[in-house]
Amino acid sequence: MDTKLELATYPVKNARFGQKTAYKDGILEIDKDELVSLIKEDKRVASADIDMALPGEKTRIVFIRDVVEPRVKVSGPGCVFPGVLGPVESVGTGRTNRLSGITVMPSAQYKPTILSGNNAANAGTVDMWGPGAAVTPFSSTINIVPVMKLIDGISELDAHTAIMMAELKLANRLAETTRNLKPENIESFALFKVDDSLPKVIYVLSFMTLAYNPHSFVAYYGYCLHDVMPFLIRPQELFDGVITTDTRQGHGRKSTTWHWMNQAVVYRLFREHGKRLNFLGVIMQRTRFESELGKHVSASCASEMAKMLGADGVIITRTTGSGANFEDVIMTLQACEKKGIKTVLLNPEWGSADGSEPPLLVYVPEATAMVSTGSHEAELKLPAPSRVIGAEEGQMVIAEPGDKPFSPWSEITWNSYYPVTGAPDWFGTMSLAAEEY
Amino acid sequence: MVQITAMTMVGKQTRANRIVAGTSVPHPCGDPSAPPDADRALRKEIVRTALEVLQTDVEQPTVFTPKITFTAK
Repeated sequence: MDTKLELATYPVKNARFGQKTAYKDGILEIDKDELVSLIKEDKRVASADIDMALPGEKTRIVFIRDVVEPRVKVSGPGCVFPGVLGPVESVGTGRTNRLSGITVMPSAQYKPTILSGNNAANAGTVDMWGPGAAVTPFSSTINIVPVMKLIDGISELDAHTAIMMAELKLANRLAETTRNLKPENIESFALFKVDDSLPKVIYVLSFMTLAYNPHSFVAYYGYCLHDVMPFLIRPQELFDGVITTDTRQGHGRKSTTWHWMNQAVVYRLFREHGKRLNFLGVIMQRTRFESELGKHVSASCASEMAKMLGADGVIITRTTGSGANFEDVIMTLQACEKKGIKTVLLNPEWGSADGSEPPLLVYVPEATAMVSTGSHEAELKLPAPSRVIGAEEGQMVIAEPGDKPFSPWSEITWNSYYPVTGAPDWFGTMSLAAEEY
Repeated sequence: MVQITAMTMVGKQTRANRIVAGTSVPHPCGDPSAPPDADRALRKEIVRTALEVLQTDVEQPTVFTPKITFTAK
């Protein structure tokens, strides 16, 4: 019998700055000075302030580096963000409290030392209203934005660590307000024994990391996964924040830490467990191997693991865009199908703004079942905001090294949703739907 | 024509006739992390394969693998 994890939800309907940090009846009051001093404990932070953006207001947030949901462990081993905020103890059991409808969204600036390529830092933008709001989940959450500048001469890894620690400490502090309160609801997640006739499903959560990246992009219990073969995890671990991401990169291309701890496919598989299917677990698959050998071995390993566990079906998704990563994913799909495991790819489409280019990089005969979460290469026209968080009056924003600087106070036109944090829909959580015509 | 690439699947998708499997995405024709002699032998074998393949008739996109032991990441 699998031990369960209880996720207790405390919805935040409104938030405001006040005299103390406390949660009561859906209202989160925040003592700004207390939280700012928490961030300033880190000597790598040169200046810090905290702002807030509410859904619907004409506010644009820039220099976003990541997003996280406030959670705290109230019973059971370990802590939320184990290996980062506390020692490594296997998490995913006991009870975890979460503040829903609210995020911590760090906006940070520093002088980068990596000036081009995949390893360079980048930043995302979120509009809380209008057409920009329609493409990201983070326009419907209250966003607590620590606005930070880091010290001169900081290394890339230190920049990431400073931003991440401020983000996670803040999130932890906010969730701490719920510790002795009664939640609005509790959901249990357990892989209990079910009817053996139900189809057995494995989720291959394939993610991209780079061997030469200062952080790698994705860390498990704080350990950077530069170059690893697939491994099996208890899916509940994800809800306790075992995955943290590179907080130098807040561009929409990347899945944020929020996406990992609110893993939409895992939520759904748990909710269908014992009803329509038998959820066996999550295989974490590192991708973007640079040699064909690495790609083949990874595909072989992930598919063999799924077969050993007795999977009838596999769902495979991605966390970021990359051709080499897509090839690894497709090779894994092929390997699973060849071993008799029905495999579904859930993935967004490309195809350019006018839809004239191929939506996927490669097509193989084994990929007979694919779910599209829509194209994110449509044109996005954003009107001028009334307020900007994260940039000084008149300051231009460079979202990625080599990009044309843009003024966050003006109207913006992009030919892709990529610059918006959370916009490419890697896990099918957004409202885009396909229509036959 | 022959294409040397570490992403042979993409080579096939783009309908390249002759595809030679290279070492890695950033270094299709060698392995700079290997000792100079090994890297040179590796490069020589990949290019030799490509030249041989150029003289081979194919009916559809075909992948050829050089006689090497892959060591690159």
